[in-house]
Amino acid sequence: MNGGRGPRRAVAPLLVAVSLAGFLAVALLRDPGLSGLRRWPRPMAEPERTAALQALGRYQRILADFFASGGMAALIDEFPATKAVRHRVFKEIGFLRDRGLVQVIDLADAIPISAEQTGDDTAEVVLYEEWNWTLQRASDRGQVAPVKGLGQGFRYGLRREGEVWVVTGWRPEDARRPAAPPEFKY
Amino acid sequence: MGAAATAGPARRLLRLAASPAALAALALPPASAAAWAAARGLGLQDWTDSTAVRAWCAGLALSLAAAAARAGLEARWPRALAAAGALALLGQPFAWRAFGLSGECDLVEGSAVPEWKWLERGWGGTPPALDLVEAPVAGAGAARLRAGGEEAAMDVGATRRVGGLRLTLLGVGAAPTFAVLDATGEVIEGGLFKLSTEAGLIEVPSLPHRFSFAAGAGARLDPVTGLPSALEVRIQRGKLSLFSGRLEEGREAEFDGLKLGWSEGARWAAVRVTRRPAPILALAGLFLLADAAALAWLGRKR
Repeated sequence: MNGGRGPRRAVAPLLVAVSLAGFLAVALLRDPGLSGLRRWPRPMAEPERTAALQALGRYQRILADFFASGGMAALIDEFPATKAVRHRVFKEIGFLRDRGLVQVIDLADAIPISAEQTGDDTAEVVLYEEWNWTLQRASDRGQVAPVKGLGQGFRYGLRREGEVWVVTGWRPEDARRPAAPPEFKY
Repeated sequence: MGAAATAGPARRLLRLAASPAALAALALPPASAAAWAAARGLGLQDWTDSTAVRAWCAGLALSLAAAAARAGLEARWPRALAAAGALALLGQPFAWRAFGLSGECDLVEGSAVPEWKWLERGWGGTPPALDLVEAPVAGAGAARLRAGGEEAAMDVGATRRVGGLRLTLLGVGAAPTFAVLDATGEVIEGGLFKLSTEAGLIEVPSLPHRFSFAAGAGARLDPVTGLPSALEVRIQRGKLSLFSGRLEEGREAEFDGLKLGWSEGARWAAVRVTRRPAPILALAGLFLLADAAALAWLGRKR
């Protein structure tokens, strides 16, 4: 536009090359959708995978404690779950308590099927779980229903809060018990 | 002397920003990204939402503004108009992104609140008011949709402009009612649910249970009601599955001392919605470029 009065001719190709390189670098780092290099989802790498599975193990143990105690919230601060999930758990315990019941659940096995990181601080883990459960009267702990078994897949949403993973939600997932024994045990 | 000293660097900066080299250096990367996005079948939104594209286009806009200002100061009007026209053209995709919207929603007959499955909109794109006035049973006839006070009849798969929106009717189906009854037979929870082949989870405020209803793949629908004779129903409380099986209309599933039943309700429609504002900036840009070309041609003729 200004002919020879602008940057010297030798500078122009360099300027274009630098601009293109800078653009490419920003696009690769910040725009996975545009660059085609989407980072998520991807299999969870160690040590995050172990940390997420340990958080789920803690979640299951404290969950069973909550039910067995009829809603004693002593371990609430250690329960790795969001406020919404905690609310849902205590809504269920309250429903049973209103009917004079206590539910006893015992985790027999939990087998990791998949663990994927879905963002910098989010992940989804699928577990195949086997539980034994029964209902008791809250007054005398007399059994009101036979012990039943449950084998079901569950997909957990997790979010990293500081150093720990917390459960943000879960839903049933069609999954079968894997034939090979898992490498990870809680 | 002070003014002259500051005028020097400012003028040099303006000259550098308005130089063809700077314009080319800033225009080439986003232009290449647009070609790349088009080749990969990506949408305009993928391009406008890119951090790199936004940063380089902001730089290009400044460079074009500098070129227009400089040409104006030097009374080179074709050049000034061309730079202003290019600036307006550059702004158009971002104006579409800021004021447009696109999404998919479910509408239930009689409810004025769309249930958005996804909705992408810029800061100026307000969610539209949409109504399903009437939907056909079992695919017979056209559905009537209302948007922006305008009503239109549409067949499934059809696309029409209604009330400033571009609507595509993706499908229609039944929205039966469900009811949870206590031991005395009193209804304690209930509502409409959208029936499709895939079950979605329904939660109610007063119970910890989650319910799911699905038509089931290949289910034969009643030609009048658009409903199958039985639904695949699942009731869960926490991790426990309390009921899982087929439940006929009028029958009840028992769980935790409660009962669940379903019956005919209303209709629902799935709609894709897009709104793209008129290309005012693009038209203004083309007008300015045409002016610039005409002025340049007249200048040469003289």
